[in-house]
Amino acid sequence: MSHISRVTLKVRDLDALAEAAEHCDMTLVRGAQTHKWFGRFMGDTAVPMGMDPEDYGKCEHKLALKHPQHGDYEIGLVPAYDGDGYDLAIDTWNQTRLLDAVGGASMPKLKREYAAAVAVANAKKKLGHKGFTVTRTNIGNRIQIALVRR
Amino acid sequence: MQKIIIEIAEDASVSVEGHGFKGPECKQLTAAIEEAIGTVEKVTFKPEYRQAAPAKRVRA
Repeated sequence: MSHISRVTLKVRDLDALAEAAEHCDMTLVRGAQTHKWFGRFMGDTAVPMGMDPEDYGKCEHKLALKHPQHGDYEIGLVPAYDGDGYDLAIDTWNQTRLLDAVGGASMPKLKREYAAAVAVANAKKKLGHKGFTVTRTNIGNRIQIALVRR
Repeated sequence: MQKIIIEIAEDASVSVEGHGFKGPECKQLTAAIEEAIGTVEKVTFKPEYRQAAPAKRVRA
């Protein structure tokens, strides 16, 4: 091997996020300006860096369950605090179905699928013509993308 | 055989690892993919990275 890189995920690619949402039985709604949440800040949780509780519920796009039931909230895409892509805004209070869909409060399933979608698309686009084949394998709750050139 | 493995862990942390490369080619190949996924936080270079890639032979 020649190197190992550790990469922190950034949500920048809406096409990849839409693909990831499908794996979570959700839909990306582009251009949505609001997303469902409790509706009133109770002051019982830390305010994310760069956010104002007055702006909770506002977004540029949103992720919604495909088959929502009364009381289900949605995930808002808000401009990232560092200006690079989007942060995912979620209200987790009493949200069993939403949390099941994305894998928990930190949304690991959604993020895994997003990372996989970005990796596969970019691998095919940027290395496919250099002779690499791209294979995705699910290993439990992990995903492995193998790029092989013989 | 040259292989690049992109490992997405349960917590969605991502690592990219090259196998079978000599020299900096692996890092050059994976850079665009790593940047598309997110921000590269740490890179660990293996001894092979310092080895020269085999020279290409050209038939005249």
